[in-house]
Amino acid sequence: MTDKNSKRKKIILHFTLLFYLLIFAFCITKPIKTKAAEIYLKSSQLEYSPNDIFKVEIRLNVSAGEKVTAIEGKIKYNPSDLKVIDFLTGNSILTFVDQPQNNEKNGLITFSGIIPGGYTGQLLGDPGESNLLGTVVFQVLKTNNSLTNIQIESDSRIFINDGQELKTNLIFKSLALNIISQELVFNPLNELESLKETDKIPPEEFKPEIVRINGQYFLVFNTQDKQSGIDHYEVNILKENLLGQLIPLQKFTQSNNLYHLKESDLNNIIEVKAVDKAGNERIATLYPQIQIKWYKNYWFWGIIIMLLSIFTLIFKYFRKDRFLH
Amino acid sequence: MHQSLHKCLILFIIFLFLFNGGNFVFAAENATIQAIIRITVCGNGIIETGEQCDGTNLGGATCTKLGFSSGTLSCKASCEFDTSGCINGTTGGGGGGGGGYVPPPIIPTLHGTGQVNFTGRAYPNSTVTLLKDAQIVATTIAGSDANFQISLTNITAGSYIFSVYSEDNKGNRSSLLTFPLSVTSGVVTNVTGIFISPTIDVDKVEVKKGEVIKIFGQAIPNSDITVIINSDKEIYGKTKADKIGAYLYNLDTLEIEMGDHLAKSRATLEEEISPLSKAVSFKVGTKTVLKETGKCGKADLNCDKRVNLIDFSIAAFWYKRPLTPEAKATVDLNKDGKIDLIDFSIMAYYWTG
Repeated sequence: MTDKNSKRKKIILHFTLLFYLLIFAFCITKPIKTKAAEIYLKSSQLEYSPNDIFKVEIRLNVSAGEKVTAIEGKIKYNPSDLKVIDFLTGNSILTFVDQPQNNEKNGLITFSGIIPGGYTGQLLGDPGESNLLGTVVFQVLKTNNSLTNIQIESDSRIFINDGQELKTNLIFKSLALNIISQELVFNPLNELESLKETDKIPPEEFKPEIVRINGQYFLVFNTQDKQSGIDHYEVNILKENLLGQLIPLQKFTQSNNLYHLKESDLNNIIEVKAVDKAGNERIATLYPQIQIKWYKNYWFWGIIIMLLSIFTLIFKYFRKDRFLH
Repeated sequence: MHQSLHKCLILFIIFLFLFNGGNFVFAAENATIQAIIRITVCGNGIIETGEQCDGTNLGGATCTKLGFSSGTLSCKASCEFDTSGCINGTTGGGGGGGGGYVPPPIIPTLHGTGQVNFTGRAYPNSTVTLLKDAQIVATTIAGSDANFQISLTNITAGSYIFSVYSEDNKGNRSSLLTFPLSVTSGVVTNVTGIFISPTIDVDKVEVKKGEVIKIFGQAIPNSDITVIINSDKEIYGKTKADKIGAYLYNLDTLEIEMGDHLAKSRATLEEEISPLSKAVSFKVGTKTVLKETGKCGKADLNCDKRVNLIDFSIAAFWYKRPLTPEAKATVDLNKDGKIDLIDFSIMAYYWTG
């Protein structure tokens, strides 16, 4: 009987212990929030032939609650297998700080940019992927290699929140592609050309602004193109002539997002043309920021000269008339 | 013997509770749910939250089920039932089960473009600003119930980063709520459940130890506010927003150690938690210094109360260039003597558009 009792007590004790342990685990266990970010590469196929032109998308994934604000990416490829044809910024979530650069000799593509407000990861129900950083267009070269690797260099950097570099839990996924020996003769509708072919939409609307930096005036602008991406910008300065017609003071000049202005340009109309990779254009116009001073206005002097001429003529006429009498 | 073991265990548990108090509060608070932004697409043939139907998908509904005697039920472009083909009945009963959310009207869009509707909660009569790819595209005034709705039409199909923030009655801005979204041509995307974080401010930049510092802001009306003080040990204070959403928390600085501190807040309403507010800093020291108004905000390089493309361009000008003393003081955000990606990352964090 006592044996049975002690057994029962032991069971109760064990259950009580287990219960307390469960409570303990429940109370102190906080959900572990792992800070992680991943940059990965994606292509439509895993096998290409020499001469093939194809796209490789650079994409970003972040763990829930993370806010990626800046990225410095380095993409390494074998220059004896692949040649970079272009870097497309269409649909990119980045505002580029360093425009993409390709070092053909070393097979290295570098770029950096920010995500204003931060990228916090894909939302449930988003019909698309919304995590594209950029797209590299490669051409396969004639090579003896049957496999080529495109990889994200380990010294690529991801910044979260207000400038904190994410140093752990960084995942950089490379892309291995098979190169088949059969050479492609001609493919007029490769991935780049078909993208350009379908892009009929001009870049997004934008508004240039003038900013004074270090005592100099600059025109600043930025826009996006959701299809092929922005190819370049051109700036044109226009002046109104006496007849009200706009006369270009210079031809459209190719520019980056920061265009140095002369002080006199502030009185003129400035046009900025954004051109995408497919050649579609969007022009944004900025009207004079400074009110033209009265003595700099042609019309004012024109009217003065006209009035003076009329007065002179009248005066001369009456003088002549008086002498005759 | 057993009893003493039990006592020991109970004491041990109590000790753990006390030792880990802050974390325990945190765990309890996590019982509520972080507000979730929901995306539904009207035009994809799938009936999602807030939709009565989608295209030809009527979800099994018929005219008779809706209280009519006969006829053909169809679906409007706004994903609401079109009962114009139903005969001889009344639209009674509220059978649609649509809940509180009424999709905004569909505005015809251009070919290759889509429409996006944003609905959520801010503060009563506050200005809500919407950014598309870091540029301001729309502003609206929230209703007296703090609800707001913004519709963007003719958005070119593609992926975008949308951001929303609100400004309270004192001109303080909330943190930026950012979310990526793919816009599909010919469909209407509804983004619902946006819960804007509270605004936050302090009345002093430095407070003498033992004095009270006021932490205040605006949030959704009648919400429960948790003020989080980040110091060596996190402190959680509770207060409640009034009917206009204003809240005030008096922090007794006896509770915290000397030095620099950060305060953040979040609102909880109907078991949903808003994202965390911006952080405001203050110091507990030997004197009291009131907060000056009109100072340039972090990353606002041209002092126009906005962090946008102009500030980005100013930083881009100095990028990889030797800095003048003035540039060092204003543009170098992390004070490391150079402009690099870290400074741009800080700017991206404080972006307002």
